[in-house]
Amino acid sequence: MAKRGKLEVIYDILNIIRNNKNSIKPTPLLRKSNLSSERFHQYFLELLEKGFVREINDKNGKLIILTDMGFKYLERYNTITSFIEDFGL
Amino acid sequence: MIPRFFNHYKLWIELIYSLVVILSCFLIYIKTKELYDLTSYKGVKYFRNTFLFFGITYFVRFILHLVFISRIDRVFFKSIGLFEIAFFIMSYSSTMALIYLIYSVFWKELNNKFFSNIKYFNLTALIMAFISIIIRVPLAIFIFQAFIILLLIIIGYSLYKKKKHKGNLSQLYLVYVLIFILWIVSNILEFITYFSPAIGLIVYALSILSFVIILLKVFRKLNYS
Repeated sequence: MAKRGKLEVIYDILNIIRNNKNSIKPTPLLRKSNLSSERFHQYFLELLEKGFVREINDKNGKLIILTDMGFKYLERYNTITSFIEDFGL
Repeated sequence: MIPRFFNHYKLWIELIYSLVVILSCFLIYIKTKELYDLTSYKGVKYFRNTFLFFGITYFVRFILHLVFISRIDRVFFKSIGLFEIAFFIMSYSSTMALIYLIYSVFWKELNNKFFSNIKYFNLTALIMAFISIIIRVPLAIFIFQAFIILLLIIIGYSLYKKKKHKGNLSQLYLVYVLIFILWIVSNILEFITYFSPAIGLIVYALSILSFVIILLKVFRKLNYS
């Protein structure tokens, strides 16, 4: 299986959150993302910095949810990848 | 570039040509902003920078032609060194535009200490632009550009050929190559006093076509619903 590119990994992480009714705890997200703990944290920090996800505190503990930017990324993902491919970037 | 000999007709063609290219470049730059904001993808960054620098180059070219067309006393502009400043900016920005265009295609291949650092190229482009002004041989910058383009294309392409998992080279690759060639040819033509105006028109028409093809493709691909 080919190594996933950065854009694809980001898509996968955001998609897991969306498919989980836009609310997931960090540990199941790490498990489902198929990444090492170290790589997951790197990606997760980047997603927070870019404003794709947000952490909220619930009565059950810390939850991760998508922001509008996160939804926008998911919505645009096919366009993004097709643009990069078509322009040979 | 300050053409050696002018006529009014040629100036108007130059103005229209520059305007179309400027508009195309800045529209491409603006239209791809969201794409870059979302991804921070290096290829997209280099692609956008290509058109930003081409836009700047053609904008300065446009201003120069406006000066010529306006019939304002050129002694004033000469006294403030406008032509030297304009040539310096055009030399630097066009070199960077060409380098960024090659980078946008081969950035994954050009992944070693020297080639992955765009700062070295920035510095080289600045030095070359400066030298061209000092030695007062404007043609030198275009020879240098032709050399650097050829070098980067050969290195990038040979590394790409060695790669195990080759992606498809974009169909737009030919348009990119056309942009390089036309840029060099159109500038060299400025130094040839006697050439058929038809050749100049063909070069301008092909240049406009190349930029408009890319612009339309960008609009078509990013036409979000």
